[in-house]
Parts: sequence; C-alpha cells; structure tokens
Amino acid sequence: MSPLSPRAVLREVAAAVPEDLRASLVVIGSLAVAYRLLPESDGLGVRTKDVDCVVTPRVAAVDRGREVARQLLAAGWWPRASGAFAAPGGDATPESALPVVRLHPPGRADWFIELLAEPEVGQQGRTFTRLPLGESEHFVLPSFEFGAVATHGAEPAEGGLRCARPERMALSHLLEHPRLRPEKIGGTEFRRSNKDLGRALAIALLDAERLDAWPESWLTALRELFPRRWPVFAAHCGDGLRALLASHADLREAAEICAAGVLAGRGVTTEDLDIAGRRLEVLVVREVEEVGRRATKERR
Amino acid sequence: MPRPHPVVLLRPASARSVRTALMELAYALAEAPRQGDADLVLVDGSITHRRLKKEWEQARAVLRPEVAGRLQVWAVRGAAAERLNGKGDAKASARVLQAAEAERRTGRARARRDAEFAVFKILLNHWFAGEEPITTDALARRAGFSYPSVAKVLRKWGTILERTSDRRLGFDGFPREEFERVRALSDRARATARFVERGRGAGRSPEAQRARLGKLRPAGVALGGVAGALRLCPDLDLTGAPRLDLSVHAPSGRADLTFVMELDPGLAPVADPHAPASLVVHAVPHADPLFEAAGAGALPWADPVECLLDLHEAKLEAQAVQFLEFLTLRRAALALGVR
Repeated sequence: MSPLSPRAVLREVAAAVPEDLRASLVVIGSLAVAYRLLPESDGLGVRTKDVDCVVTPRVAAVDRGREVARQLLAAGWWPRASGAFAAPGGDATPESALPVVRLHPPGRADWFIELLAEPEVGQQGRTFTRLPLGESEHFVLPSFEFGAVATHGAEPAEGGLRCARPERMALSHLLEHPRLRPEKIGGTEFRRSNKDLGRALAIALLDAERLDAWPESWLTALRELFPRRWPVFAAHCGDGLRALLASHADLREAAEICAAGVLAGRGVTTEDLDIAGRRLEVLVVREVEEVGRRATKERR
Repeated sequence: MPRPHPVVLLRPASARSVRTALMELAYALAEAPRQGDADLVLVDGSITHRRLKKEWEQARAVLRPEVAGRLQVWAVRGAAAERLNGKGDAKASARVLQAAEAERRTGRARARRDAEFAVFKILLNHWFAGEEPITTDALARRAGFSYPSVAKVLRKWGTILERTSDRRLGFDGFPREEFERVRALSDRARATARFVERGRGAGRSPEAQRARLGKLRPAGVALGGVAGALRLCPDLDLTGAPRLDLSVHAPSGRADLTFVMELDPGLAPVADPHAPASLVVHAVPHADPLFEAAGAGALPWADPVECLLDLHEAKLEAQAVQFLEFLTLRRAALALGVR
C-alpha cells in the first residue's frame, strides 16, 4: 500500500461524478479521518486501499448509487475483482453472493472506491441492498447498523463531496462493537472489532484538542437518529472501548492495524493508543454514558 | 455524613511515616466529629503487612475509640486492596483502588509548612493591592499559623515593615531582597508538581486543558501563571500560554492532585524541574487561599504574587519583570485612590 493524498483522491472521485450527485456521497473511513485530521504538509498521506463512500440518503441510495457507478464506469473506472465475489450476478443471485461496487480509477490499481448505503431506520446488524446496473450486472450496497451515525452532519469537502465528521465516525465504531468479537477481517488474522475500535482510538488520538466538544456532538447525533432508543446507546457507548483497553493483546493488535493504516509513519505504539483510549473514556464516554443513564431512569 | 477523600501514602519508606500519617488523620477526624469515616491507603510500600498491622494496633491503643472506629487503614499492592483493621467490602475496595491508582499516576504534592513564605505572600499581596496595614492577629489567621510563629517571622523583617501606632503592619515598599530569597525557596514551599503529556499522540494545548477545567471546576483549584498575569496585565509581552499553571489550596500542606486524572489521563508527573511541562501545579499553603472568584463556570484566579512566582518558575524572566513593574505601578495608582 502506497500512501495516498486525501485531497488528491477526493478530487479524482469528484471529477468523475456529475456535480449534482457529489453531495450525495459521504466519504468515511481512514481517508476521511486523514482528510479531516492529518496535515497535508507532513507528506505522510494515508495508507489505505479502499475509499469508502456512503450514498445518501437511504431512500435514494439505489438510484443514486446506480448513477454514480455508471458514471464512474463511463469515465474509465474499472471493477475490482477479488475472491468469491469476483463477478456481478443476475436476478437469481442472492444478495449474500453479490459483490460490492468496488471501482479502481483509470490506470491505477493501488486504490478503489467502495460504495455503501445508509442503514434503514431500525436496522440491526449488517444488510445488503441489491444494486442492478444491468441485466446480469447486479451488485450490492452494504449498510451497517450505526452507519448513519458516521454520516450524520457530514460536512462539505474537496470537489463538492462530503466528508464524515471524525468524532461521529469514532462513535459509530464504538456502537458497532459493544464487545470484542472473534470475526476476522477477510484474508487476515486481525479481528474486525480490534480494527474498528482501534480506529476510534486513532481518531481520538488525532483529535485530542477537540475532545471536549465530542460529547455534545455524539448526543446530538444519537438523539436525532434514535429518538426512542438513544439513551440505551448513550449509556453503553463505552462498553467496547473498555473491553479493548482491558485486553492488552487486542489493544496491541489494534495498534498494529493503526500503524499500518491511518497512523502509518507516525511511530504510534500500543501505549500511545492506550493513552488515547483512556483520554476518550474520561473526557467523552463517561459524560455521554451518564446522560444516557439519567435519561433511561427518567423514562422508567 | 460526607466521606473525605482517602489519604494516600505512596510507597511509604518507613513505619515512622505510616505512624505520622495515622496520627495526622486521627487529629483531623477528632477535629471534625461530624465528618464521615476516613481511609488511610498505603500504596506499594516495602513494609510488611505484619508491621503495618502492628503500627495500627499501637495507634489504636492511644486513640479514642470514637476516632479509631472511624479510621480505616488499607494496604494496596498491585491491583489488590486489603483492609488492615477490619473487613472491607467490594465497594470500599473499589474506592480505595481508584484513589491508589490516581495517586500512582499523579502523586500528591506535599508543601513544607513554612510560616515565613505564607506570611510574606500575604503581606506582599496586601502591599500590591494598596491596602491598609493589618494586625498580626489577622495576619496569623490568614496565614494559618499561630500568633507566636508569625511574630517570630515578623521580628526578622524589622527594617522592611511599616508599623502603625495601633499595632498594624505592612511592607513599606517592595521588599526586593526578601522577595528574591523567598522566590528561591518557593519551589519547595509550594510543592510544585510538573506534568508532561505521555505518549506520541497529539497533546492537548493549555487552552483546551483550561476549558476542561472550567467544566470540571475542581474544588480549591485556581488559575495562575501566564493566564493569571494576563488577566491583570493584558499588555504582558506574551502571546499564548506555553503551559498551564494551577494553584491548589493546601492549608494542611497536602495538595490533592487527583483532579489531574480527570483533567487528562494523558498527563504524567515528571520529577525533572527542567523538563518542558504542559501542566504545573503549585500548593497554596496559607489558610486564606487569596483566590479571586471569576465569572460563572470559570475557575477562580490565583493571587498576583502566585502568578509572579509562576512566571519566574517558568523562566519567563522578561515577563516577570514586566508584571512586577505593572503591579508596582498599579499599587501606586491604588494608593493615590485611582482605580
């Protein structure tokens, strides 16, 4: 993986997407973290292969996702073929067997754009929405239960695209993983929960100066997205974080993943990530949990 | 009844230090009969449990039962807490372990009880404020020392004091030589504790730490240093604070620094006085902290002399000279009735 310049990547994506569709795409993941929090001037860039773009809003995800994919293909972007999901399917192919839309820019194979959708209201876990581009060119748009937390309040970025707010990406990772889970990231020995929870810590590490503003931002997103259930989510937002901090082996793995990705070239150690986690817990999580617990009590 | 914060003794070196801590806590309990039980927590010491229990038994033999019964003694090693004088429940054990962990991370600054330092600071603040001379009795109360102790200090300063016919006193000018002498002793008298950002991540600026302190509002903590000096003298030749200086009221000599863990768990104490600290905490050993209330939601301000000492301690000598000139000129204006 060679380092990418977040701004250059966003410009390249924006250039291939019609202007009226650009604001429908919210960039999340390590590229969004780097765009928001890493100075371009340090020249380190970000090490990532996938540029995750969520097609918004949910109700228009299929139409707009189809349009974005077609435009990119017309501009010379080419599908990434990998493993069991190398080729698109047809009407009869179940969603679980369809590939995600992953497109490389023309002439490059070092990174690709991946399209996702926001979750449906009340969605639990991960789901896949069929995205037919042609008769036997069916793909899927994956969506995650707390994906809307990451995209909530996304702000304008390079070329008219939008970019997720760092603290809300961190919250969506914490909510997705209330405990450490054994599931591995495809093709690796790394646990998915270690990667995502570690990402939340990496964001807290890079955004240390603004941590005091996080509790309000988290609570705003939770209240607006989950008008009935937000107290429960708030009251338990630190469960996964504490589980990670309590397991040195998992924290070390999280640090290894960060050191190869969003924190590459910064010499960040397990101890650094541990400090970031403790800071996140004391400055942000405790306050949000307390608000959640109080609201839960009041509702009884 | 409120339960006071546990008194924590980190790595007690001798049975004598344990004995002293036990007695100090017993005195405090005897003086506050309405206060709840108190914990003495001995953390990571090399003294055996047997010896510690013997110390407790000896102390119990001389303490009144109503005082001994309110004193709970704990030994903490690693992540295990054991009560040495009775049974401890899980809740108490968790409370004690939390206090021990906070102490391990931040420590507790202990100021030398120095009557001369306390009296000097109070009188100098008095002088800078252009206030009328005060009685020795009032001075003793504000300093938190006995009348004889204060009188002994004042006898040494015969030539720099102005005394009125009704037995009031104050400095008759800025006591430069005495100030330099007291300044040299201030690190010890104020039990200055320094903290640095641990780890290689982005640290938090003094401004961010200050904003969080405004939210936490820890009791007995005031803002000093560059921020405190700039409040009085906005023309101070400095842009931004290189570090945050806080003053913690510690009339008993013990400054509770556990709030530092709540402020930022990324901070760690550093012994080297030359290390570039991002947070510096000074104990205020006089009974009247001389703090000045700030607006709602803000920390109070430390007194001008405290801020002046902070500037010197931070090696901001040019700014310290400028601030001293400002305070002296302001004093002259106040004495003339210009406010």
